[in-house]
Amino acid sequence: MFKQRFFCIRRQGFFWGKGIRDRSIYLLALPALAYLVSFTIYPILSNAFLSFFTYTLRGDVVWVGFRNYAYLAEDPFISRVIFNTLIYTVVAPMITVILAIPIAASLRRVGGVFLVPLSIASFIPATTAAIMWYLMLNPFLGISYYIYQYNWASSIYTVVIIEIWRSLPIAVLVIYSGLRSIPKHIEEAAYADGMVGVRKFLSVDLPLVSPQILTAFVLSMISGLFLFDPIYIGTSQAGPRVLDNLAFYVFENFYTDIRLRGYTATLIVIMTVLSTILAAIYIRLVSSRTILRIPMVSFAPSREMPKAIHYVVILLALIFTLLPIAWLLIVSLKSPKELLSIPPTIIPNSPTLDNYHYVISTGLPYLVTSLGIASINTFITILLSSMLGFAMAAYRFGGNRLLIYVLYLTATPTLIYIVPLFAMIRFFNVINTWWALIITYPIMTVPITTWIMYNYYIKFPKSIDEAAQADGMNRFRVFIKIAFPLSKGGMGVAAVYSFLISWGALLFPLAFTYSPYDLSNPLSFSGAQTFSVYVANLMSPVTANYGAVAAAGVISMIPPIILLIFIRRDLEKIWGR
Amino acid sequence: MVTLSRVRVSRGISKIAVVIVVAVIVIAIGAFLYTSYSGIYSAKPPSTLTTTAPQTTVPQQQQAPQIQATLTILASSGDPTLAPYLRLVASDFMKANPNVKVEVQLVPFAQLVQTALTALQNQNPSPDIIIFYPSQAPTLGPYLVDMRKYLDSGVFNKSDIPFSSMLPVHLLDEKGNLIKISGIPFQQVFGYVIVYRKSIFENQQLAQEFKDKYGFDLNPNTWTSWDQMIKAAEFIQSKKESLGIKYALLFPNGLTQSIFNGFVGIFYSYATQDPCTDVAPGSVGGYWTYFKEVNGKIVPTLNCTAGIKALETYKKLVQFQPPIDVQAMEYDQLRDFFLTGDYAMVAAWTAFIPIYNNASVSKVAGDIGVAPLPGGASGQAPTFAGINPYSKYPDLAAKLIAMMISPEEYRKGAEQIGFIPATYSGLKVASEVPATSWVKPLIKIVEEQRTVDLKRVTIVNSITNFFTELRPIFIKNVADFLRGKQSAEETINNIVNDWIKIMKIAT
Amino acid sequence: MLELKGIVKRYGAFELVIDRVVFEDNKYYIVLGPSGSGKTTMLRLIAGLEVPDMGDIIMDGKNITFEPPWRRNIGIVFQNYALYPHMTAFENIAVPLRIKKVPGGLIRDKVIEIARLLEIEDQLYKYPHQMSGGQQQRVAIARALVKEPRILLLDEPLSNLDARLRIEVRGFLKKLQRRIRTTIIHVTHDQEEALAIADEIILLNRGRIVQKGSPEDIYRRPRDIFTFTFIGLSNLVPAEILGYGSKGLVGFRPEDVYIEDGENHDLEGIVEAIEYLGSHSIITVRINSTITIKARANLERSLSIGERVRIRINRDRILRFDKDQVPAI
Repeated sequence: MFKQRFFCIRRQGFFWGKGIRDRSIYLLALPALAYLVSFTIYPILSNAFLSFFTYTLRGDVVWVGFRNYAYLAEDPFISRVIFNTLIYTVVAPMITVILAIPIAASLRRVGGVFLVPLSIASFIPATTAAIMWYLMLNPFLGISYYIYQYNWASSIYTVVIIEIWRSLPIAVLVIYSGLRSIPKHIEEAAYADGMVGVRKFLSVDLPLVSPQILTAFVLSMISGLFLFDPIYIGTSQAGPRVLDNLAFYVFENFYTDIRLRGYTATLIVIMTVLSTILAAIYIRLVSSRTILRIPMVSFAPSREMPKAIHYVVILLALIFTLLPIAWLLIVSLKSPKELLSIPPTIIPNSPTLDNYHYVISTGLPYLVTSLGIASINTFITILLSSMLGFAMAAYRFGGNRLLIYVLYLTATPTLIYIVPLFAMIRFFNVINTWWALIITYPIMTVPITTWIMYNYYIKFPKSIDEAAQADGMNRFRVFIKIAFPLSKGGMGVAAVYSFLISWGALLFPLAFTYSPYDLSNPLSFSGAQTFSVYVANLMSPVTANYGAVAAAGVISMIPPIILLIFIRRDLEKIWGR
Repeated sequence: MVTLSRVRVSRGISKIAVVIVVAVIVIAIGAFLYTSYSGIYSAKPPSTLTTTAPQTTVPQQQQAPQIQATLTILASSGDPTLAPYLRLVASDFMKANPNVKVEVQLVPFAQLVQTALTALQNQNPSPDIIIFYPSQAPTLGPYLVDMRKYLDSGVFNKSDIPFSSMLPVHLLDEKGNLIKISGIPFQQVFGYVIVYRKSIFENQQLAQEFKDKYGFDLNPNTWTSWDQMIKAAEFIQSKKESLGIKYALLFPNGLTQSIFNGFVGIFYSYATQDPCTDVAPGSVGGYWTYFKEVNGKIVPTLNCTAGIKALETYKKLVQFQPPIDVQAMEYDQLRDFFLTGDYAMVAAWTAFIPIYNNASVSKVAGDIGVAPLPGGASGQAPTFAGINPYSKYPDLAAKLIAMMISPEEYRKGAEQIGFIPATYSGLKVASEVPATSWVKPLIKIVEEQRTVDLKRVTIVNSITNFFTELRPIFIKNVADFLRGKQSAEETINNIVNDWIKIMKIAT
Repeated sequence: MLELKGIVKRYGAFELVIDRVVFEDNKYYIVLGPSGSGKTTMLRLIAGLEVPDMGDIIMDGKNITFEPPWRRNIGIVFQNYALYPHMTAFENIAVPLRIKKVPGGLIRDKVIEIARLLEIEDQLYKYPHQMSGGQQQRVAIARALVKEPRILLLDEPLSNLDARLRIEVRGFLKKLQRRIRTTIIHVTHDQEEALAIADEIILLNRGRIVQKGSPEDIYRRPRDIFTFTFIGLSNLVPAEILGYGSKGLVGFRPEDVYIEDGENHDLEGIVEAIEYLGSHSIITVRINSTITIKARANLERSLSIGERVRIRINRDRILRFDKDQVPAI
C-alpha cells in the first residue's frame, strides 16, 4: 500500500510534472528560469540583507540591526514621499479608470478606428511623454502662457496628469475589449427587457466588464508605483523632494551618497513589500474573474445617448492625447530665438530643421545604442520567454507556482533590484558598456513576455506537439522545429512589448551607464547611454535646450509610431487579453 | 508561407540557444558564488582619510615621452567656453608633446558626478583628468589625487592661484587638519553678478533723473547696499513702458538650486555686520556662514538677525519678476529670460555673458554691462581640474593642467573664445583683451576676500546630509516665505529647528 | 510484441486498470469502446504521451514505461491529423527521417516510396491547408509510417471523414497493414469499423478491458450484456418470455429473428417502425408495453406499420445472461 502510494507520487512528479525520462525540457525552461532567479530572487534577498547594514565613506559595511528601519520614522521626507507615492498609485489610476470607462463606451458606439491615435500615448517613451508635457505647461514658453500661467512643474498633480496620459490608452483598451466581448445574446436580452442607453450601460455592461475595469485599475496602479520618468524630468524645476515617490527617492538616495546605501536598501524593502501586495491583488484578479455587483441605478435615463455625445467624448480624448505631441512638434521646428520669444508663437514663423540636425549630430551614438540594445533585448527576450512559456504551457513546467512567480515579476518594479544589480554589473566589470544593459534589460521584459507566450502556447494544438514527439523529437526539438516557427503571432505581440519597454527604458541606463557609445571604437561596445538619457539630459536646467529636446522627443517617437502603424489591427490582441 | 529553408534556420537558432543557455547558467552561478562570498558592495574611495595619494602600479618609465600616451579629460557640456578652451589647450599640448594624445570627453552637467564616480569607484585609468565644479568637490574630492605635491614642487605656481578659489577643494579631517587639495582652479566663474543693459543704466538722461531723485548713481558698479539696488530696480520698474521692458530685475529663486545659492550672498552681506553670526568682514563667503561652532557643537547661524534681514531683502529683490508660483527662476531661466530683452538687469553667472552677447539668440547682445553684487555678495564658482589616481600618467596630467593655467594659453583663450581665467595673472590678461574686458570690475572679488578660517570654511563638509536633506528643507521654507505663506521669523525658525533635528555630523 | 502489465492510470474520478494485455506482431488491433471508456488513454500510454501511475509497458522484452515518445519506435496518426502547417506534405513526411539524421538522398527516396504506397505522390508539394481531409490523413499516415515504426497507433482515424470515404479508407487501411506488415493499434468508438477491419478487438468499458478477441468472437460470443449490446444491433429480453426460466435475460441479433406466418412462432407483436436500409430493413416489433424486438427483414416481404406479425427466433443463436453477474447496461 505504502509502496503503491510512493510510486504514484514519484511518477506524477512532485514539482516538475510528468515522470517521463526527459531532460530536454530543462533545456527549454532553464535559461529563462536561471536568469530570472539569479537576477530577481537573488537581488531581493541580497537587498533585504543589506538593509541591516550601513556603509562608511571608505566603503566598509557595518551591521546596524534595525537602525535603518528606525530611521524611517525620523526621515524628514518620508511622509511626503509616501503621500506622493499614494497619490501616484491610487489617485491617478482612479482618475484613469474613471476617464477610460466613458471613452471605451463611446469607442464601442462610434467604432474602434480611433483606438490607434488614442494609443500613441502608451507607445512613446515615458521620458518623451514627460518632456512634452513640461514643454507645453511652461508658463512662459508653452501653451500654458495663453491659458493659465502657473509653475506647473512644481506640482505633483502635473506628474499625475502625465501618468494618466500615459496609462489611459491601456485602460481604455482593456475596458473596450471587455465591452466588445459581451455576448450578443446578453445585449439582446437587455433590449428585450427595455434597457437601453445609460441605464443598460450601468446595469448590464458595467457589471459584466468589471473584471476588465479592475484589471485596468490594477495595471494603472502598477504603472503608478513604477513611476519614475516624469519625476526625474520635473524635479529640476520643482526642487528636491517635492515630486518624489518611493521609486525616485530610492534612486536619489542610491546615487547621492554611498553612506545612504543601507538606508536605500531599507526603502527598497518597503517598496518590495508594497509591490508584492499589489502583485498579489493582480494575480488574484488575473486568476479569478469575479463580477462586481453594482446597485441598480434607477435614476439613470433609459434611452440611447445621441451619437454626437460619443463623438464629443472621443474628440476630447483625442485632444488630450494629441495636444502635447503637437506642441512638441511645433517646438521642435522653432529657431533658438523664437524658442525664447514671449509670448510663444503657436505656428513657427520660420520653421527650421536645425534642431533635428543638432540632435542627429550629437545624439547619434545614443540612438545607435537605443536601437541596438532594444533589438538585441527583443531577440533575447523572445528566445528566453518563448522557451519558458512553451515549457510552462505545453508541459505544465513548474506548475502554478512558476506561473505565479512570473506574474509576480510582471507586477513588481525593476527598481527594487537596482542596488544588487549595480554590484553584479560592477563585478562583471561591464559598467557603461552595452553588456551591462544586455544582461539587465531582460528583467524588465522577460516576465511580461513569458506571460504573453504562455497564454499563446496554451492555445497551441496539443496534437501537433504530440505528433512531433511521436516523430522522434524531444521536447526541446519540438519547440525549436515546430512550436517556434509556428508562433509568429505570439512572438509578434511579445516583441512589441519588449521593444517598447527597451526603447523607452530610462532607469537602467541611468544607473549603469555614464557615457555615450564610443562610435570611434564600435567593437568595444563601451559607452551605452541610451536615447532616453540623452533626451532627459537635454532637458536638465544647465543644458536646457528646448528646441533640441523637442526634436529628440519627436525622434524618440518614430520607432514606436512605426510599430503602432504595423500592428494597428492587432491592438486589441496586445492589450485586450 | 514558410519554405524549406526554415529547417536550416531553426537549426542555427538551436545552436544559439545552447550557447545562451550555457552563458546564462555560467553567469548566474558565477554571480551567485561571487556575491555570496565577497563584499562586493564596498566601493572604497582610495584616499579619503589617508594623506598620501594612492600610487599607480604603472612604473615611471611609461611616462617617458617616447611612449604613446593618451590623456582623457572628462568635462561637462553646457558652458560654451569650457570645451573650446580644453580643446585649445589640448591641441597646444599635443604640439608640445607629439607622442601624447589628448581627448576631451563631454558629458551633460547632470551626468558628470555619476560618470566620474563610476569610473573612480571602478578604479578605471580613464578619464585621467576630471573637470568639476565647487558643488561637486565634496563628492569627487575624496577619490582624486592630492595636488599638494604638484603645488609644492612648483608644477603649479601657488602664488598665482587665488587662495579663496581653492577653498572648495580643501579636504579636512575631523580635527580640521588639511589632508588633501583635490583640484586646481583654472576657470573663473563669478556669481552672482549684476548683468545690466548699458542702454538703460548708462543712459545719461535717466541717470541724471535718478541721481536727482535718490542721491546716488544709477550705475550698478557704484552700489554699496541692497537697498540701493532695490531702489534702482523700483525706479526702472516705474519706467518700464518707456524703456520697452517688462521687469526691472531678474533674481534667482529657482526651487532646485537657485534659492539656495542665491540667498547665501545676501545672507553673507548681513552676516558680516552681525556679531551673532561670527562672520568676520572681509572673509570669503559661502555656505559655511550658515553655521558656527559653539563649545565644539555645530549650530546654525540663520536665526541671527542677519537671517531675518536677508530674507526680507530677498523678498524685495524678487518682487520685480513673475511670482515664484508662475515661474521660479532657476539656472536656465536666468540664462534664457534675460535674452528676451524683457528684463533690465539680472543676477547671473558670468558664464552666461557669452550667451547674452550672442546676437543669434539674444536681443541684448552688445548691450551688456557687468558689476558685482553689493555688499561683497558676489562669490566665485571656479572650475577645477582633478587627477584620477588610477591614471596611467598622473604626472603628465599635471603638466597638462599646468599648461591650462599658463598666461599664454589664457591669452589665447580670452582672445579666441572669451574664456575667463582663474589665476591672478590670467585675470589680468583677460581684462586687457577686449572680448573679456568686462571682467575687470570683478577682479576685486578674488583680490579682496582673503581672511579664511579653514576649519570654519569647510564646516559644511562635515555635515553629511547638508545637500541631501538640509538643502531641500531650506528651499521649501524660503519658497513658502516668498509665496507669502509664512513670515520671515517663522521661516527661519522652521529651518533652524528642522536642521538641528536632522543634522548628521560625520564622526 | 507489446505488453501492458498491471497498468493503473487515474484522472480524478476516472481510472483505467489493465491487468495484462498483449499485442502480437503484425496484427491489426482495434481498441473499441464508448467515449470515456479509456481507449484514448490506453493509446497515449502506449505512445508514451502519458505515464501510468502503476504498471509497466514492455516492448520486445524491454520496459519502456518511462521512455518518452521520441524514444519509442511508434508512429501515431491523430484524429485531426496534426500535420505541421508550416511544412509541405513532403517536409511533413520527411520530419521523422530528418530527426533520425537519415541522409538527404535516402530521405527523398523513402518519402516518395511511402507516398506512392499511399497514393499521394501528386500532393507532396502542397501545404496541409491546400489538401482535402482524406489527403491530409494519408500524409499523416505516411509521416507515421515512414520511419518504419514497430507499432502504428491510429486515433479515431476515420471519424473526420464522410461516410463513403470512411468505407474506402477502412479497406485501404486493412490492405495497407497486410502490405507493410506492422502492428496497428487503432482506436475507435465505431463498432462497425471494428468488425470490418480488426484482426483482434479489445473492447473497453469504464476503464476496464471487457473482452479481447476476433470480431466473430466478440460478435457471436460476447462475454457480457455490455459487449453484446455495444456491438451490432441486439435484442435483449427477459428470459422468461422465451421460456428460459424466470431469472436473467436472453439476447439475440436481429438477423436471427424471422418474421414468418407459420404456426411455429415464438412471439407475436405489432410492427412499430420500419427502417429501410436498402439491402434489407430493420423492423421494430412491439411485443408488449415494455418489450420491443428488432428483426431483419428481406425486401421480398412488404410490411406496414400497425400490422400484426409473428416472430420466430433462431434458438441456436440465443445467448443467456445471468442478470446478477453481468454489468448493467
